[in-house]
Amino acid sequence: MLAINGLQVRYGAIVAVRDLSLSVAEGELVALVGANGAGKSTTMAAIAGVVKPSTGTITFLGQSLRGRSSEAIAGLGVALIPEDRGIFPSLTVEQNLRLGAYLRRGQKDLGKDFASVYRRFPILAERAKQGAGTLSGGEQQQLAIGRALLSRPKLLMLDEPSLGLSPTMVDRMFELIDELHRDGTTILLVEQNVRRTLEIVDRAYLLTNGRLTASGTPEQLRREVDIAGAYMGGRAAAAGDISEGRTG
Amino acid sequence: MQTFLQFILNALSLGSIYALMALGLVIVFGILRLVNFAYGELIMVAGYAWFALQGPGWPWVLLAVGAVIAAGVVSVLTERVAFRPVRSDSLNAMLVTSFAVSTLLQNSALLLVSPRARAVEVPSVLNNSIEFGGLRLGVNDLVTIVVCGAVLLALGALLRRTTLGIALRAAADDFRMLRLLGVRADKVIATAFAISGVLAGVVGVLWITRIGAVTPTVGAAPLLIALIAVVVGGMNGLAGSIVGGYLLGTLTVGLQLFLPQEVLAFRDAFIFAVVIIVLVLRPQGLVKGRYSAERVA
Ligand SMILES: Nc1ncnc2c1ncn2[C@@H]1O[C@H](COP(=O)(O)OP(=O)(O)OP(=O)(O)O)[C@@H](O)[C@H]1O
Ligand SMILES: [Mg+2]
Repeated sequence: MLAINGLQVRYGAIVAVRDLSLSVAEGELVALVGANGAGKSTTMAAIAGVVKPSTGTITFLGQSLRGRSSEAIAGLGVALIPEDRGIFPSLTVEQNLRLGAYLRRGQKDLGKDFASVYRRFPILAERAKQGAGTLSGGEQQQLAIGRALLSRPKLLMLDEPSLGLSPTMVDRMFELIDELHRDGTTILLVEQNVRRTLEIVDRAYLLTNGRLTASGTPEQLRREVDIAGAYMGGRAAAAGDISEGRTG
Repeated sequence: MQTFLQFILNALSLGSIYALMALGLVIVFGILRLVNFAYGELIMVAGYAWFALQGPGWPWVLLAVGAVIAAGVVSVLTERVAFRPVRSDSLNAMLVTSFAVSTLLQNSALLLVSPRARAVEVPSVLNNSIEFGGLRLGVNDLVTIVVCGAVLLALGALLRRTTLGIALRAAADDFRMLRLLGVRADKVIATAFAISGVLAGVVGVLWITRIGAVTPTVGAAPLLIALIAVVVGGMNGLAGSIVGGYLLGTLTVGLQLFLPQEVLAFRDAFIFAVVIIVLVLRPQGLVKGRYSAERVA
């Protein structure tokens, strides 16, 4: 469904992702893990058309995404929930959701989908008329996911959905992703919580300083890589050559 | 008491024009971080459209609608032709473009019409006033208040209820995210310019019928007023510009009414003094907004 080949993304002189190749098949749940600054968010941003790759190809459902705007890529069925969740604080919860359904406006089964989002996230129904900026972090994450689901994405990309959530919310988040996967949604997941992630995914890629250093099924990864080591190593290396002030 | 009610009425009338002026400027600023210096010329376009349409004796409403449409169309055209091509360049490129568009439109009026003021026919009823409990209510003021109120309500409904309106507000929050949801940037920006143009058109009609004439530089004063209202009210939100507009209108009318005759000539100096005091005390403007610092390419 999604195939990336030889992807390189740079921000000025910084090469954030280099020679990255990965694929996601229909119905798969694939994770992209790695230390801070490894290039995970950048990879997702490149897929979604937010940043332009300098080299490499990205194809989605057989179509090249090169040169397409992020709205066009969204139109093809790719939904990205960014690290910062991208909630519109000036809008109500309901209006946020309505924009999630933007690409399907006018379709008659929308009401049903709204109902199912509200069923999945009852707090959103409760807060429907409330300003989205007043929601807690966990509630905002639910809103971001509900909003993305309303577009009925063919590929759902979640960037660190458990970031900043309470332990109970983290549990719920992993359950939810697992559930969405079982329901047949194709998902590309970026996570810091590697242990939990490897419990639910079909396959994972390990990214270190912009390069792929390992990939495979959770069993393979656990066997072949000292995940904790790669993490610490990656983090130490990352701290060495990047400074603060990333936008993620 | 009588003077006070008179004051309220005049302040409301002028304030609501100022509020619309400021809104038209801020609706584009919120999305593009662009202060559109060609905004005043949209008001001028409305004036000349009125001037061009008058004569055959068409109903006033038709002239007004024609003028508003003209300003809206020109606004959308400037976006399409001038701003869109430079949007991905620096913000400075857009600012310079807006100066260029402003000059171009002014010079077109100079060439095509005349550098001299052109009188517009003002509906005579606007100059009438209604006696009401010892109070003289100018029809002009009443019409202004009602029209601006209706436009504000309509705009509020548009921004709150329609999908495109909601998208417009979302764009001011986080344009990148809006595009990730599949909303076309071009469409949102064109809508913002259309609304801005329509507001300029309404302001233009009210302004020009107040002055009774249109000149190529007629938009300069409204632009300055809108800028001041926006800065005082707060750049970062629609509410701020409305507050700023009404405040500035009230201040202007108040000084006009209560300043002693000898210093009346310095009214604007007093206005600027108040503006400066406000900005010293609250540099971010009176109403706190939440527009982010990012802008869309
Ligand atoms: N807008 C930007 N401008 C310049 N450099 C950037 C920008 N965004 C990211 N980078 C750099 O690119 C590299 C990869 O960043 P990225 O956000 O993709 O990492 P990440 O794996 O998502 O990290 P984290 O786990 O902290 O979210 C980092 O070195 C970062 O400093
Ligand atoms: Mg990241």
